[in-house]
Amino acid sequence: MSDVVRNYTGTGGSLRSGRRRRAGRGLFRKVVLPGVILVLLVFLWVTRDSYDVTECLPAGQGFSVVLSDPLNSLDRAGQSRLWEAVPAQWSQQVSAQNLAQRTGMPDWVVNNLFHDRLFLFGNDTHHFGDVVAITRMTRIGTLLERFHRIAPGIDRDFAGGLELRKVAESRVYYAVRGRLLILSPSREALIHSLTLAPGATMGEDALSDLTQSGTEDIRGAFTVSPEHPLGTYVRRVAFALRIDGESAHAKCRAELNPEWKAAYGPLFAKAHPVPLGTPPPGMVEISANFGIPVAELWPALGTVYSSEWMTREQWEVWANPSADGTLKVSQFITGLLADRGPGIRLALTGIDTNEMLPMPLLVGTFDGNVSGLPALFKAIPAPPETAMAWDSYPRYDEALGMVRVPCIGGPSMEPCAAVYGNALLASTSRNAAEQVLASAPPSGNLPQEGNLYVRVRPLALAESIVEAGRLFVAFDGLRGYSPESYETAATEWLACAGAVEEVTAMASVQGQNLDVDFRIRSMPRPKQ
Amino acid sequence: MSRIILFAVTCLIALPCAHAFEAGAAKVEITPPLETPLNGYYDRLGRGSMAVHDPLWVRCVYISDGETSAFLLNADLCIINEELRDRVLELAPQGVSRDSVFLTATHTHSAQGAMCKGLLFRSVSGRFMPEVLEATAQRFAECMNQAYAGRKRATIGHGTTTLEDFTENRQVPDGPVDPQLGVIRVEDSDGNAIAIVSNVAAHPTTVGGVDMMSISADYPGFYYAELEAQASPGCVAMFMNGAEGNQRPANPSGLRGWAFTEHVGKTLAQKTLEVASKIKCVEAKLHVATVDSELPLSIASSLLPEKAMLKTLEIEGLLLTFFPGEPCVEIGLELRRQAKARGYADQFTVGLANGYLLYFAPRELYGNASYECAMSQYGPGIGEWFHTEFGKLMTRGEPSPSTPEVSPPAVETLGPASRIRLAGSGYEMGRQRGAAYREALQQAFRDNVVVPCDAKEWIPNTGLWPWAPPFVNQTPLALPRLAIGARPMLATLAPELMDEVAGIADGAGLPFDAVWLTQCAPILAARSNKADLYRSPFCTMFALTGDRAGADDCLVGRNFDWSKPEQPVIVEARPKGLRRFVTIGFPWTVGAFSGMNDAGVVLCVERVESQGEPSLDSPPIDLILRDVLQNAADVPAALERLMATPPSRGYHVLVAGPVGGEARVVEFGAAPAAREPADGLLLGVLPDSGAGNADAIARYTRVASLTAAERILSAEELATALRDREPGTEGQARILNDWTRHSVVFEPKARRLHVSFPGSAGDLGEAVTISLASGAER
Repeated sequence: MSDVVRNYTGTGGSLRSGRRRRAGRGLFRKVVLPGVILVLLVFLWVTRDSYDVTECLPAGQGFSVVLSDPLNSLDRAGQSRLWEAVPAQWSQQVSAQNLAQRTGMPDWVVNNLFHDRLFLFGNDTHHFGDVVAITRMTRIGTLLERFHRIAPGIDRDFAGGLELRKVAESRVYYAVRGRLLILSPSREALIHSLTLAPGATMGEDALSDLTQSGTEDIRGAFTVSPEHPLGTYVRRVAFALRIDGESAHAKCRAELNPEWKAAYGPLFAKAHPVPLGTPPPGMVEISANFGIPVAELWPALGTVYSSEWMTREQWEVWANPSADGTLKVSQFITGLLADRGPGIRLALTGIDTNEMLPMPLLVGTFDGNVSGLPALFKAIPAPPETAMAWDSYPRYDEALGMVRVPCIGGPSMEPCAAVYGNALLASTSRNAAEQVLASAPPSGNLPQEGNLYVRVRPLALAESIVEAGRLFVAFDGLRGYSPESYETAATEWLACAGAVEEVTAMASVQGQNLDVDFRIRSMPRPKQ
Repeated sequence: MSRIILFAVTCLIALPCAHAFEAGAAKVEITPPLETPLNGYYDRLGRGSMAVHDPLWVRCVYISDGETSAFLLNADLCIINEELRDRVLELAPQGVSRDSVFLTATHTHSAQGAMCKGLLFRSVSGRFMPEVLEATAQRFAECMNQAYAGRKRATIGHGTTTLEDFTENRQVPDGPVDPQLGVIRVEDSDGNAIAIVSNVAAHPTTVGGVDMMSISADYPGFYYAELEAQASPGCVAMFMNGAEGNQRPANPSGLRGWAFTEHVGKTLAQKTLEVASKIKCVEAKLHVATVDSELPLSIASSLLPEKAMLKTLEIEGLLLTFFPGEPCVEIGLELRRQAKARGYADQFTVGLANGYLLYFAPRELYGNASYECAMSQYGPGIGEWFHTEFGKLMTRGEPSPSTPEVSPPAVETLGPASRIRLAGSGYEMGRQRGAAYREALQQAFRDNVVVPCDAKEWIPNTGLWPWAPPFVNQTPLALPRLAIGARPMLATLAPELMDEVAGIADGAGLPFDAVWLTQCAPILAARSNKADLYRSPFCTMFALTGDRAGADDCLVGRNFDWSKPEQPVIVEARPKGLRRFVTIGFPWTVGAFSGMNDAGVVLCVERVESQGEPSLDSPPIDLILRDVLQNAADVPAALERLMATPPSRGYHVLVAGPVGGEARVVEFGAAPAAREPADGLLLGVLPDSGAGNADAIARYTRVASLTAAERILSAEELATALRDREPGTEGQARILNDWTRHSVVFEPKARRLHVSFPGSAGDLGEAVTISLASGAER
């Protein structure tokens, strides 16, 4: 039988119908209206917002993250072009619609359940097995949960009176406190969150820090355990992330592990945010300034990378003159670069796949006084008389104003150096150097201060790498790939890389912290 | 009627025109811009050229007999690489079929490289410059167009002469040379030379030293200048190199630098003019043939093509055969002999034509430790392969019959092992074995050679090898390099055994070098501290002699231990013209680890690490023993043959026969030493000699104790001793251990052997008795 209220127009006399109307009004006043009011009151009572989220947020968690507007953020992020740069199955994970599909609930139900900020916290930073999620439902959402809990598949878990529920299929526990919905895959973590002693909760200040509003979609912080691979480098990381249609922006502050920072002291000792010069254009651009010259930077980087040849001793071996007094190539290069800096700019301008081997074309510009360089170049001693014209000795080409070191192969394998504006230009490739020298030195600095700036243009880089790979795969020289499987994979790589126009990162050392500003910009959408 | 007459007249007029011989010639300069890398010498390391000594040219002669035409192009280049060939054929004048285009290079080492796209060729030819490739190819096409445009009524002829002291063999001192200078003369109807083509086999590698980075046509440059100065105006001089793989210009006068280059070029021009002046030209019939032939399998298959473009051009009785690479002179001379036997008046071998597949070394030189052989990558049968394939293209005579297909012989299963009976020549026996154990051989190659390379365990840790980034698969490069390193071990290998390896390769569908590397895998592994990878066999071998062996006079006991659980195989062989024998090994082993021949000569080998590391100067020990086995009539003869080709150190070899007193263990240490039986017992390793390791000492001490009783031992008792697992011992300290792959008791006098194999539980199964007595099969 239908529940729909039906209206009938009687065919009897007006007296009878008038009596009926009066009786109907009486019934409405005496029964329906109070009933409605009662139901409303029950609804308001049942869905009252009686719990503060801070009561369930423990202090001192390994990680705590807040999504300020989870469903809208997911929708916006899911529509970003940047997902074209990652495998399709990843991007499919990121959408509110997908969330609805996976929970098996209609969109409007999900909207009412995840209405407010979503807090995520826990201690297991490896597998997130103890993550607890807290959000505030709408009144409708709260009511829906009341009805939903009697549905099959939701098991009651008395838990000493804590009244937990278990979604059997997805093995998720949850509890409702007022309009707070608290979920976790870990029963213990959920119970812990529900039974916090007053002093064990996150204070208002900490909550305020976590939830201070910007334009980000997600912000949060991780405490990195010493056992975690990252624990060697950092202790705690705070971050904020926003993903829009054509860009993503992440800010990250890492509290450096003091032991690690001390071990790599030379790299960080004099580092503080400074204006960084504009690097030469390339598919990868780097601008760095750690406050130390190249000769000190070299072993400092060697410490970071645990390299056996990026050491002070190796530098000195290169810098020492040869037994017969002729100028060694290594001696010339180390002599040229030793006092350069602290501002250094590097660019990977391309990969010459037609060289003897695929050669990365590197160009660097180095700060430092350049007034003495022309004289230094001219003073390069002539090669021994027995040397052939093509032997590897530094040679000064006065017409080009360039020092060149004939090496093997062609110009892409010919190291060279020249004065470029107020800097020394050094390159692994004569061709690349000549291209840079043909343009005016970049004026001004990057808009942001920092210590290390990196910009990558993924498509150009991927195209060069794919082309280089083809040379190896042609003779079965690429592990794991046949020519056919390589082309299939390369097509996917290029499609992914083609979705991103550039990736930039600016890192700066601020006392004990390392701040990183990370941006990804997608290729503009093709015009419809 | 008038129509018929008109038709007949038209035919009479048209007929001679249709068959008129036409020719044209042209040359176009192809000198590249400076800084273009030059091809030919690795020493240049891809650096760019720095000067032009003399210009480079591409030259073309177009000839047509009215039905068949040919564009004969020759360029001052080191090679005709695939990229250049394909581009030239694309640019060839419309209507010209690829069959009629013959592209050849003089092989000057001072002309542009930069045209090879493949990464590996760039180490010699320098970086790839697409613009140089395109410009060069365009000029080839332009030259063809000019030659065709300038065609006129012509005649053609050829002649030869013998040059004394003009060339020498650079590979083998006083080795064979091809003294023939072949000349083709094309002249117009007035008798003026349109083109003169010479053909001689000699490397144009006279330019070097301070001029290493100079562009030059080498001695052909002087040849062109001299010949064109003396010939009719407009005559185009051409030079086609021959089977020059191991040939170079002789320099008895000790001339140096450009003086030598000039001398060679001018001498060649003078000799060519002398021959050309005597040539009588006619309107010859032409025949061209082209085939893309499947090459023999190569271990460098990832780096080199699997097909070769072979072409021939016949000008009346002259046969020109075009090799896509550098054949050694032996191959060229044999081809000429075969061509003449089939009715050709003369044959010119043209090398470096229509492609480049490196060198082609003859079978007899395949193990020669020389550059030419190292660069020969299609196995020792490549010479015969060319002879067969070119034979198919010849229009005169009959090609030699092809080798009949061999059906694999029956393989009898003996529990975990198998037995096969082989007969015939070395090649035939190898082919039978290869066909029978095709999968096992391919697996053995993968497991024993490819896998260690893939795992980088066999990749050298010197040179550039360790610098390769992890994503680079070095195996395709390592395999040919390993094969080159293992080839010198072939140099002293008995020819029939090398044939057998070749037969196995053909039967199993593997490259020759793959089968040879599989044979050499243990020795290669042993050389570079790879003991854990290929644990040396800790075997047991001993002989009872004299009274200890009773009426038999000599009994030999043998357990062969091997770390890899491979399928054991008994091979019963009847090599053509040699002794019958039985060996027990694996599907891939050509050699003999344990074996006896029909004269009762027994041979067993044991690796004794303390005696030293095997060298690569001689074949693997088991192959030497195999040679002895199929030749020796008795123990003294076996010892003599064994000592004549001493294996490298690190092994003990037990040699025994029907006469017990003759048995010896030859210890190959710093110097070979033969040890006699003591008290009727001859142990593979003397426990107190300090030669063996702890396991060997324990094993042989046990053998000595088991056979110490002062009584006569029978074959059965010996077999029991070989099944001994002494309590309290483990691993290879036991006579029968987990690595034992076969156990044999030899009865030399009875020409009988009893072979047992371990079952799945490790215990030896029932013995199979094999008799080598005359007429006996089992």
